[in-house]
Amino acid sequence: MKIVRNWIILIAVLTGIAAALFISGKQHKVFIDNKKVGEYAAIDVSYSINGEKAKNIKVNKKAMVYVKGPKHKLIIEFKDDTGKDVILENEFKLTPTEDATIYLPLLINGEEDWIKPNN
Amino acid sequence: MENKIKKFLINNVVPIFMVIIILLSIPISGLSIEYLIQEIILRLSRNLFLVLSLLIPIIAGMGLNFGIVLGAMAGQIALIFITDWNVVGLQGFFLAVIITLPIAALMGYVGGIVLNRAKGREMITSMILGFFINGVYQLLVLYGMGKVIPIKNEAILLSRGHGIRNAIDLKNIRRALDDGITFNIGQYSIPVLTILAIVLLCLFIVWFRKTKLGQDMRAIGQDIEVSKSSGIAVDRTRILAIVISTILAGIGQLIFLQNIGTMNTYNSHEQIGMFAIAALLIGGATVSKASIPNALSGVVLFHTMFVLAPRAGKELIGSAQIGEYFRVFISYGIIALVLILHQWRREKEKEAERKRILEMNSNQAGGN
Repeated sequence: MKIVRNWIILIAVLTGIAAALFISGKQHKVFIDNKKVGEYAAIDVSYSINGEKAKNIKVNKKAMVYVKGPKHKLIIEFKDDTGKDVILENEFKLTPTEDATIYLPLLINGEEDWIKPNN
Repeated sequence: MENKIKKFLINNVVPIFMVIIILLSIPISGLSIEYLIQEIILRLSRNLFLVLSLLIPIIAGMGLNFGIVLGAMAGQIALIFITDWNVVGLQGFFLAVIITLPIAALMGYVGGIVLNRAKGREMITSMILGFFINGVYQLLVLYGMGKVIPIKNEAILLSRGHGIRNAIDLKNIRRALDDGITFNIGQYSIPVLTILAIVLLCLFIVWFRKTKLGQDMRAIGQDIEVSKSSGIAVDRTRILAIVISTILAGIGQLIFLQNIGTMNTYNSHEQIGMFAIAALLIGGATVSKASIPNALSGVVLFHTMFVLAPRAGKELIGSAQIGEYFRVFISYGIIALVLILHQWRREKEKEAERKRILEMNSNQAGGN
């Protein structure tokens, strides 16, 4: 009985660790879309995900980055209508099986649905 | 004194032979000592875990476990899964370790049962078992994956939609363990996590030998019949030895492949048993006795030769290919030599025992 209990505990612990490793190590594709969405026009933006080196994305372009794990930090930098530099910091979460697209024009204009899952 | 030197030479003929070859090859190859040291560090971290996985069956008197290829296959199945699921970095590596555990344990259990039915012929049986399980593995990977076992990643699937490609790029976990933490000593880069894993395994082996199970294995290794009479569950203990060895080999294969960075789905495991065994034997181990220093020195000597042979061959004959032939020839040659020496030693021991008994009997007869 004791042996069976120990085996069940061991299997449960290993399964738990495996699930944690899967979630924290899962790689996701995140597309960064800088095309006009509805009434919101696109502008040149510099973006950085999870502290990586910032990259520029021009109008009407789409980029792809790989991210690992569920929780991520996105920093974007752009010039507003007055020519002033604006920096926006946002966080987003992904479920283990999810890839996503970030719509920069929506994000810049303060819309809530700036990130949408792909699958 | 002369006898002692003779005994030392006979016991260490293989390492001595290798040291001579290496010392002759270094100046011919033209490779610098710094380069050689960095290569040895790299190859130690890549191969030592696999070689150490051979020690426990030797303690249990089961000889050289050619069945470590079963563990290697378990590790490769785990790598296919984590590549399909896109789990990257250290998490991917450790998830592969967890997936390897039950598969390798099952394979080890099957191997242990088969080897218990072939007592005294474990080495050849484990080798043939490796070939047989290789067929099952190929069936599973070539026809089962993508059909019975869902695989979604098209990059690893054959174009027909099922079966795994010949080569898998392990970019998701390439050097994940090696580069996890690195430490530089001068110009040499030390993969701390990999070395730590090897040190932990060495400590485990040292501790394991002192446990009740370890002592039982040693007793079985010395005499099965006496162990049986003293109440040791011989068959169960031997199965456990093979299960532990197979699991360790699975983890060893993961360490090996994360270092290499690509996996040859249908061949990566095939040579593992032979090269690991050759390395252990070159370190001075025998079929019945092997230690951690044997494994360590064996990997250093064997892989120094691996590095030197192609260059020495190129310098001598103008073709690096000769070095490749040379190292394969050495690998098989050393295994054959050690098996012959083992048999020769056993014959000598039997002869000495016979002489001792005859002398005893004649002394007793003289006394009467």
